[in-house]
Amino acid sequence: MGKVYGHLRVLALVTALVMVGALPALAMTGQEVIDRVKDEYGDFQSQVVTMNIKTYDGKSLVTDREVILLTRKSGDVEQSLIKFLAPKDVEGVGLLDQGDDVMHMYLPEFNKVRRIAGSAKSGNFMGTDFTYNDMSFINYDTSDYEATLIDETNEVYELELRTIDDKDSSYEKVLMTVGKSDWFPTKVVFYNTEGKLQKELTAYDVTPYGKYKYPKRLEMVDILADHKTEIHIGDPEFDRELDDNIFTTRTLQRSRIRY
Amino acid sequence: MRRNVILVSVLVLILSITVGVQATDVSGEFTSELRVLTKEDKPLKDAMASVGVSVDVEGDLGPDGSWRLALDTSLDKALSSFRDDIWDADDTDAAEDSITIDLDEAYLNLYSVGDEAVDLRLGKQYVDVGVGDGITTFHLTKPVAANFIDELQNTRAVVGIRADWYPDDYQVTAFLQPRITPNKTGKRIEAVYQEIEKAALMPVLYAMSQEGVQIVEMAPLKEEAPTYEDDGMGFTIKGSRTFGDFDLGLVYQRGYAPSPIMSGFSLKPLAEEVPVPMRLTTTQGYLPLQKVGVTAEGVLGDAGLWGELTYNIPKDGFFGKEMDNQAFPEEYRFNSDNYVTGLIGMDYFFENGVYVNGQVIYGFPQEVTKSMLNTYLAGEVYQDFLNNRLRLEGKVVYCFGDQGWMIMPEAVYQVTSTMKAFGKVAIPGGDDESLFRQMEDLTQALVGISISF
Repeated sequence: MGKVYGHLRVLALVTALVMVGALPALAMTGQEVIDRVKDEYGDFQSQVVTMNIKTYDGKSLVTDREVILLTRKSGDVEQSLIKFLAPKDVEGVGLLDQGDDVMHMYLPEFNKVRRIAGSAKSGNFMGTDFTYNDMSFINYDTSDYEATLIDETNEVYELELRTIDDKDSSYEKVLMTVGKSDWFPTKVVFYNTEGKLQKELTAYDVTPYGKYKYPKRLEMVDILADHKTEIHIGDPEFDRELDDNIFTTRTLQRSRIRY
Repeated sequence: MRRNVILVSVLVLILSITVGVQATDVSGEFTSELRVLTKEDKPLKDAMASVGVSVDVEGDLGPDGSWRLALDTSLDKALSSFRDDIWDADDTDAAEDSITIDLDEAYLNLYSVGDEAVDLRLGKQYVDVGVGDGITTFHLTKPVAANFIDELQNTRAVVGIRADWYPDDYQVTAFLQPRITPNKTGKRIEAVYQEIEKAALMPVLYAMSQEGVQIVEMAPLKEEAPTYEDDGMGFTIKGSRTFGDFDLGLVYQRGYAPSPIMSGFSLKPLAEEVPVPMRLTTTQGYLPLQKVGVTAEGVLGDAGLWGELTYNIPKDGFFGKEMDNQAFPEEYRFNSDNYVTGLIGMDYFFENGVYVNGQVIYGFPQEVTKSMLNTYLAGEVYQDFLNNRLRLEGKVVYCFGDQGWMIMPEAVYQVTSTMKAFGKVAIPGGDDESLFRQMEDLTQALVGISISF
């Protein structure tokens, strides 16, 4: 993909020299940048990764949790399963997103799977700074958003994302910074419905894993609340064959996920 | 107690040796609580202090299964004797008497048995096929475990074999319960229930005295555990499937109401006099019940919605004819008539983070005859503050029948990543004759900490 992009850049440069007046027409659109990000970064069919999630109130550590995340694309539908591994008070809690807005949660305390209603999805996920809807940003899934290119420098593209369906929006807009060198979205900034800067999601230590790249650490800061979530990411496995049975309420209830 | 410790230790040892120590995970929680019964004469002196440790040991059996042992140990003492017995070790026997060890769960999971979409769970486990929040009309596998009034929704694990089968888009859950696990309630709660039962007998005794009979002796209430030769093992089966936004289920359940209920009484003349002096003996037993019903759980717009509708069939002939006595208060005229119970509930998260949950319930789990049924409203509301470190929560139960109620405000503060501090108050009240009002002496305040490891 890097070579392809190099060729495109040369082609764009030559074209620019010949047809200066046509430059604006050759600039990438926001959607094209997003598509390129997906091609470069998120085009895996499945992913398995363990994460250590720490939340801070100011500088004080409040929660420290281990989870395993499995995702899989099945046609246009992306499914994911998150299971909490530690500590004791959340161990076994699971969240299953079967796509098409069907989400289930398993609470071992009650030994029960519950369907999650739409109103719960705008709440914080297990005390983190991510809402259930924000969780899609861990893999930079922006399919619910329409992207517009609002600025461009030699190093980065600046995109503005607005939800396709305004009713589902917890944010007025989301700004995404995409590096031109690696097409990686290094920063995502969330503005609340009052137009105030609320959260910043930053990726650190972007590391290549075969043909994909993935950060070693994500940080979501709720600026208004002075609250922070740090996600330390173990080595991910991509494109592993994940059985249909994994993304079911049957697996959700198991204390350990086998894949 | 020692026998339990040995039994559990042996179980852990066997499982650890069998599957290898490296495959086990150990986690747990340490809890310390101080409970003040505010209606006691000297609330602070009589306050109950308790320290407890719950330990979970889980192990893997490779892709074919796993196992789990959960052990709860607690030491409960009146604050006045806590220091003498525990810290000064003046009376270690007294301290030992206050220690309880419970095997909370102990089961073996077997996955994809016979390469079929069938999972088995064998052993002591929690089983709930209902969809209600904290309550269900299919309660025969959910005995109560409550030492104090704030714990009335807590349940015990039951022993049995569970099978989950997943044919196509369906799920079928079956549970076989070889023996009953009765409710386990604390002495104070038990004393209130017995007072209420005695009060219910008073009109009968009065009516008898009008007929020249004098009760001079009352035999202690006797619990007669049911024998399973009579009515077979407990059995629950549920089939469910998703239709649109709802998971619909069909349930059949048979077993025993886990709380003993008065099934009859007898009178024995003690002398040939007028009025005739009599000895009154009451009998109690676990009512055999069958239940057939439906469950529905799903989303309606942005709200969660769930409901149960259940047809209950008590065993014919369980209650003596004398129980259908016109002198009894209506709710104590027990008989084996079939009856319907149900619940419907809804929950919603508001944009400001407030969570609201409300349920209307017709027939609480302890109401196992037609004459006992009441309609209740149960509600819960909470919101997180201080960057999700503080949760303020309120629960309320209201009985439309006798106009009794109970409110339970609670606060939980996340001190560190492993430590929580909490405070809770339970206040029952209502009309003089209501069940909750008769529990007024159990009004309490509770503070404590928990540390997970």
